[in-house]
Amino acid sequence: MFQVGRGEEGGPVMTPIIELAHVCMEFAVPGGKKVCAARDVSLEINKGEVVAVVGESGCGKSTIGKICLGVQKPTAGEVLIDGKPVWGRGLKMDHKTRMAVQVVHQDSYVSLNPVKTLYQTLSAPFRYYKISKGEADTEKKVIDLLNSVGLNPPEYFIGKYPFQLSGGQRQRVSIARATILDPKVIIADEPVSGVDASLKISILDLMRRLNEEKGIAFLYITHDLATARYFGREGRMVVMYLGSIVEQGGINELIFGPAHPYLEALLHAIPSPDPKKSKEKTGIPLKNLEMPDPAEPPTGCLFHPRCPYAEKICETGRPVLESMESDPAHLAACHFKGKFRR
Amino acid sequence: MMVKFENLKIDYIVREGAVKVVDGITFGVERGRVTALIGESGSGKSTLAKAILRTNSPNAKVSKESRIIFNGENLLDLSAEQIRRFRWQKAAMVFQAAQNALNPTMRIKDQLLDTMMDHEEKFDYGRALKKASDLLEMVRLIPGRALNAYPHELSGGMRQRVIIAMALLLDPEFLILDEPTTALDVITQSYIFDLLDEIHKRLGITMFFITHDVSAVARLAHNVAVLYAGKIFETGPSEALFRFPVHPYSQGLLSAIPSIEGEQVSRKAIPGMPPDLINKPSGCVFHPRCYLAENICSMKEPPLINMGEGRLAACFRWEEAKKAGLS
Repeated sequence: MFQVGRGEEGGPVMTPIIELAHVCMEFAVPGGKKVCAARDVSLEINKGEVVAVVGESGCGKSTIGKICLGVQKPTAGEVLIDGKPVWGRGLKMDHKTRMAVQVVHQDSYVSLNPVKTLYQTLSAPFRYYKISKGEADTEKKVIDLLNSVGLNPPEYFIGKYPFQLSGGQRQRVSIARATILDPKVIIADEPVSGVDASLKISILDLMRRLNEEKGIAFLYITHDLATARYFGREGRMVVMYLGSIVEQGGINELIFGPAHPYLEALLHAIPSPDPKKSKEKTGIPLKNLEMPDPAEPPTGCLFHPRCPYAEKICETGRPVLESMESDPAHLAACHFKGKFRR
Repeated sequence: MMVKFENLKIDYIVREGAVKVVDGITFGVERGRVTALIGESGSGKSTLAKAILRTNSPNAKVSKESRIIFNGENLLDLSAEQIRRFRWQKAAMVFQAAQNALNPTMRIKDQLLDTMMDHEEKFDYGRALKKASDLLEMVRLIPGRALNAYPHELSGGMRQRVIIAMALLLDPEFLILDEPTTALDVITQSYIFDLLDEIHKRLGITMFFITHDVSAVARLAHNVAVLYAGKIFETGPSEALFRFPVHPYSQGLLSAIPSIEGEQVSRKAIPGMPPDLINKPSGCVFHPRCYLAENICSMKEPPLINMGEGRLAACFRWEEAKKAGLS
């Protein structure tokens, strides 16, 4: 992992593709209350990097994705794409910035227009942004595109409607669509959670290839740590809980050495396909199973009501996200950072 | 055997023809044990589960020679009234905690009592309420609070536990669990499996899991069956099957699961796509995707072959597959 944007060792100063600085996102809910889907979130996505955002439903991971995509304006904080503020002048991003960030949604069935053929869907951006010269060129480009995501033979797929494809094939179309405008980063929000087990890997491999060959960075949003590890490899991982980043660092470092009790519980809860190992995994290290009401977040550390190691300080003081002594790239928002009294 | 499927064939009749969703399944579920049926979408697993309760949609045609034997009785011969009695009293189903499994306009209490009122000849309100509270307690909910709640007031995990309690209301002998944790977070999922494990140990109830999530059932299942395109490809004790799958499809399915344990190894997806269920490939339905396929595989359909140690596989080349799997 390379530390950029600081130029500490005299290396080139690189601007992150996307930078979130102290971003907060509050939603008003009935009863005059507010739900905080992002609390003081700072995050950088660098060129060619894979950043996995993991957490349970309701932790704010999709909100972070929408903020990075520039479709959700945060209530506080700054969003920079290529060093330029997204929400600087009014409500719209300019085209160029928008082209740099693309998205792959979870449900390929609803994210593709059901009454349009793949050709209609995939040729539109070429025409709109005047990338292709004439209809023949557009068709050639769409065929190349279908080839690049493994939809072979392209002539067979080009006239199909989304309902005629399987889930895995539809997700390939979504990915193809996201790559048309040569994006610098793709926000992939649970791209494989609706795909069958035997095809999941091939979709992840396809994204991997785009990352390696085209240098497209990915923000991979998921609840599945195993796919995050598979896809992210040497990338970074961000663990979210109730809108806050609770832990951040290299994916393998986090999986093999969680510093926050929440990540420890998450890892413990993941079933193992090996029955022997799986049988040992009973009882989750948590005091309370239910997530607290996000409209009335706990005082102190957001995790303390569920934390089995919580002490007095956790009820009052909110821990800040800080580097571990052993590994400056590994950050955790916990008073004890792995050194809990078990 | 608690339930035995004998040559079960179910077709869905559509405009284009007959979709052979369940295509000649012979397989038994052991009494008092946990059996898991693993299959991807379109493998026919839900159709098979629904066939036990006979709740398949009207265009599902069950073949004449099919039999589903439950305690010595062929369920396909039962009259409408008999099957109504059979449902929930003998065999109950735990559905996915999706929006539609509970009635959003009724309190949990009313839904639980409704079920009992409908099935019991002498309905006693006090006794029924006691039973409902006891079961909610067994699934670790606070009865006082859960009984009076509407479904939307409960979290997904709580709703799933209510659904489990509801399935146990009439003391069934047989519990079908159709993807019971699919829409839930990992922590909740792990908790539900702890709970089901406890229920199984306490009540000794026969459990039949239907799932696509291989790792989730590894912990509970004693026996496993792998389903592909309406056919059973492999069955056996779970520990042995998960450790050394023999059928090339089971091997592919299990090696396609990324893991958080050990070294990061690259995984391989099974090449190709699931078959068209109207015009199935000849011979073994898996042969177009199989790494071991040879001539015979496209000509003849492999029967389930006994490999010893309680394991069966529908593959002509199981000995080669076994060797390949072990190396």
